[in-house]
Amino acid sequence: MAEESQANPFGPIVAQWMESWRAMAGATAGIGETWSNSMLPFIVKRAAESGFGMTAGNDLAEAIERMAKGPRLADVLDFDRKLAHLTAAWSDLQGKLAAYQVVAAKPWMRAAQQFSARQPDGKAKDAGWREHLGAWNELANEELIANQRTEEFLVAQKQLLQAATEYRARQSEIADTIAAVLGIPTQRDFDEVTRQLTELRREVRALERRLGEAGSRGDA
Amino acid sequence: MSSDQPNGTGPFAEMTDKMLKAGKLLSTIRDDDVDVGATPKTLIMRRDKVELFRYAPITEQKVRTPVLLAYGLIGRYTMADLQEDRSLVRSLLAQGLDLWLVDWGQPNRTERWLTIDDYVDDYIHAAVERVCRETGHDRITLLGICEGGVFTTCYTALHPDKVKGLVLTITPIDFHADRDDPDTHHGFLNLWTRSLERSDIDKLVDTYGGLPGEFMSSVFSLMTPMRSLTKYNVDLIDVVDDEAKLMNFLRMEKWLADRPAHPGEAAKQWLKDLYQDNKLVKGEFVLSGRRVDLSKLTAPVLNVFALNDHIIPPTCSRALGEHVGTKDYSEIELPGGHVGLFVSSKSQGSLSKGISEWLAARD
Repeated sequence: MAEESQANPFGPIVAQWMESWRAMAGATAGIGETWSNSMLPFIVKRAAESGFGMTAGNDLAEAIERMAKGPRLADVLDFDRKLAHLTAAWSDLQGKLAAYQVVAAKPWMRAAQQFSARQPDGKAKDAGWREHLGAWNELANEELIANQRTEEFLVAQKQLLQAATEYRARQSEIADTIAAVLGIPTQRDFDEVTRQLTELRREVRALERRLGEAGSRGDA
Repeated sequence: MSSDQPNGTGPFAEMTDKMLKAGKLLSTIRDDDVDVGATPKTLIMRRDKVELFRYAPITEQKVRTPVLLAYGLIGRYTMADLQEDRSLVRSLLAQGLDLWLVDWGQPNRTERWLTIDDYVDDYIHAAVERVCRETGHDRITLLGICEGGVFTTCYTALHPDKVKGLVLTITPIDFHADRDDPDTHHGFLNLWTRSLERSDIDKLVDTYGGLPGEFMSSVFSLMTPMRSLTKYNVDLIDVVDDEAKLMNFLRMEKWLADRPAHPGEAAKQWLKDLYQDNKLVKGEFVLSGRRVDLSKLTAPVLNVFALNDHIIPPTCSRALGEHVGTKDYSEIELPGGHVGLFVSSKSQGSLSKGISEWLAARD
């Protein structure tokens, strides 16, 4: 033993490391088994759907919502309320994003299962990485496109879009409030100016056209 | 032992060699070298951000009637003039056409309130009148691409006295006919738009002041998911050491990146009135207070569509035949996809030849 240690001073360390590794691998397998046999996948899925505790239906989100929707006082600057709106919109967006990701992940898992279940024929065994990648791409593409056409995907995507738009609208509200305080024209001001410009242009051009038509008829 | 070890010619060595060549090549290419929409043209008129151009002839004029090309508001006209050997514009000029272009420019939030009414009854009308004045013609031919095809269709129905012929390419007419297309790779845009609430579209447009170009790009990427994921790795590596192929790739990327925002109110009409409510084929689409009646399309019509168009399913384009008022209605169906029809080397000859022969026969 002493001789062996002398010949390879790292021998015991390697052996110890290997043992630790084996124990860890065993524990991991155990965790995996516990995971797959338990309610955990179901709970995590539900947690994702409810935004991991940050979306509607939980205490924090409800508190923020109450702040945002509380009575409005005429003489108090309501910047805090707008910040609360923004926070509520952000947490809703995170929840919708997580729910969307759960739906969007499904075709990848289906494609992986199908790909691994394929029995390699003689031709496939000789194929290079490009052929394998091509086969995988084709399979995954079909699954992803099929998934996009499901009601579940369309609803998740719509809800994500709604939440993202709401969040952006709340961001703009904050930006407009700050701009107004600093005396800078707001996005709403800009939209109002361009609306008036567009309408004015239409009126001028309609008038030009009428004058041109009248001129060509010799009315003038 | 791997085959690339002994003589250095296996896959690993090939890849290393390729990446070395690619590094040298990429270090010499600048953005200015990636030129799209380069066919020479002269600015004739500017109206707000919209510009009217006349292309310089490259051969003797064989078709007398001027042709005005109108692209849509999603993406830019440069798709029709990507590069010298893949350019519908250049091919049509080579067939002896007097070709004009209406370019919508780069709309942004400033154009938020513009409607399809403005594009059809103001910008296109002003362009048509100017082309007529410059060339001495009473009527001209309109060549619409995609959404630009819808605009030119509406213009032709509302101003039949100004249009001698109407050529449509990859143009949606029946926005619900994707349901008749059995190919599940086609028509996601139709399905996706119908899945939205009307208030979602209003809020999206009101919040962003238009339909952001990046947003439409992401919807298009969804439609070809694996292609989108492998574009910058597998596909790019395939072409990266071949200068001609790499330049094709970069030009295409430049076109894709040049995607201005779709003007807001026009986007609401496009998505709600047309994609959701399908008002054009129902005869309910109203512009400037006038109903667009497709049976008023009395000028000759040529309808070109791509059989593997995943963005505008061929069934949505083909539907026009049932509604037009003219007996001189023709179709050309070509293999390929929405963009491939214009940029693939295969379709170059057949597309421009089909259009120019049709025009020459009616000149």
